[in-house]
Amino acid sequence: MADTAWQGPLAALSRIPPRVRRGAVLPAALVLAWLAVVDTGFARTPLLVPLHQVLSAPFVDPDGRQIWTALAASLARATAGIALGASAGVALGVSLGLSRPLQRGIAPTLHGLRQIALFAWIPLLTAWFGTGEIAKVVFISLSAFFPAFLNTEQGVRAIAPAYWETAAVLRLRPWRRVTKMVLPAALPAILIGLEIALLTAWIGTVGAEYAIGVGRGLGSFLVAARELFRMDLVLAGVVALALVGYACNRASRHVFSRIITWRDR
Amino acid sequence: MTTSSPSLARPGSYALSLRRVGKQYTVDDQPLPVLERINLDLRHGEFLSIVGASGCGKSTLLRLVAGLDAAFEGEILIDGRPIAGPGIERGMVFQDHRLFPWLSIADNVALGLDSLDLDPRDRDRRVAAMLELVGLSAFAKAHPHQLSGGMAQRAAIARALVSEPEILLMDEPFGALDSLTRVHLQEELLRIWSQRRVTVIVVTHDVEEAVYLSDTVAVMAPRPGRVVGATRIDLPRPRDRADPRFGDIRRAILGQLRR
Repeated sequence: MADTAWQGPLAALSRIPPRVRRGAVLPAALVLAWLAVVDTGFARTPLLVPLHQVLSAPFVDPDGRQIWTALAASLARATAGIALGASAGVALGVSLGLSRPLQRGIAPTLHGLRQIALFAWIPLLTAWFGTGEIAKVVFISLSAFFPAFLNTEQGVRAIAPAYWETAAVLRLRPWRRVTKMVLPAALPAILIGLEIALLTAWIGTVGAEYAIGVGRGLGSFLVAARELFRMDLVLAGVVALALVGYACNRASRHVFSRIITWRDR
Repeated sequence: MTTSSPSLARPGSYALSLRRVGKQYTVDDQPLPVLERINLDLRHGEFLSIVGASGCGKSTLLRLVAGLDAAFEGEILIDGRPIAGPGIERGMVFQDHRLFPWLSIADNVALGLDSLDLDPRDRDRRVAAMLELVGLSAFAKAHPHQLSGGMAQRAAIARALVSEPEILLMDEPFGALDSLTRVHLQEELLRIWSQRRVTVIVVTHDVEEAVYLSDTVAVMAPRPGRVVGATRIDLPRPRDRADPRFGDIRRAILGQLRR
């Protein structure tokens, strides 16, 4: 009886690939330690909340349920910012990679602006755009723009001279040259740029909400929870933030790895 | 053996003429001549090979004719008119096939028609006919990495010829292939050449290949790159590599190379 009761979970465990199992050891150990130290009542401090309380807060706690609207607001904002910033980054990266004069005229400025720490933009942006939605979306766009731009520009400039010569010999028209040669050749670099852009934009989203503080969002949720000293809600927010970042990364890798179907040689 | 000399024919009757073509690079502020006073005339439909040791400038010369490099002295004339950049009347095949790996074979070949205003049906028909000519009809939808080296090079030839150029330029086109495939593709090239009536320049370091293929074999010597001899080959095709006359011509050209 005891044997059969154990076989189910063990068999399920053995179906998980070893790479995933190994990666799960440390998080599982931390969760167990938390359970052992906090949930059992061994350590009593308002800074540590039992795990079950953190995980159930988004479902049962009336304040905790607000995390869902906050999450939705953050995701919508992040999507808008990424769409704007990443497309501007790719477009500008391709243009600068293609045109020597444009490159000389604009690249030094952009590479200079890149040196400004991302969060140093916030005072400037709130002064220009106020503390509403626009300032946040602009900030998220900025955080997505630089990785998308830098990787695209670099990817276009790294296209082998052999491809340029081939395009010249075939006398490809400018637009066809971009769509049939430049974009596919630079695509691996562009996708890496987009992957980084997704991550920095998500960090930028929560950062902007946290720093600007007004309005809905996961960042604002964290601020409010901290001010109420609701450590369970703070931790629930942190967990949500991490899960979204992780899911974005996995999803983008999964999609991007299926876009490039060819092999170079 | 006859050295090509400016013949009595009017200049316009040549498919391609090179007049005192020279090129130099500047290295440490010193001029470094890589090509010097190259004169060549090609009749319409002529098959010319240029042989020479590596570094003699034969590929550089071909790049000038292709229009990939505008910095040279002298004149390169097509039907008596100086060239300006790459043109529709010239097709080029490189040593590596240079197909775009993200496009199918048919789409790669279709790129050769990009500069023409064709309606899609016309374009597809010409691409299909070209793939038929090089024996790749079954691979129209395949991608370059799915083809062998010889097949990829045939696709590159199709891409170069699909716009029906008058002149086909080939830079060591079979240099990267194994010897069996090379011999097979040489025969294929001669078949395509006789069917399409194009003027061909092949740059190679393989003297036997040059003698097997060409009407004329030009020999280049290095530092600075110059033409030191041109041999007309009057052997009937298909040529037999074991023919004693074939061997004599091959030895004579090797002799010019060693000078």
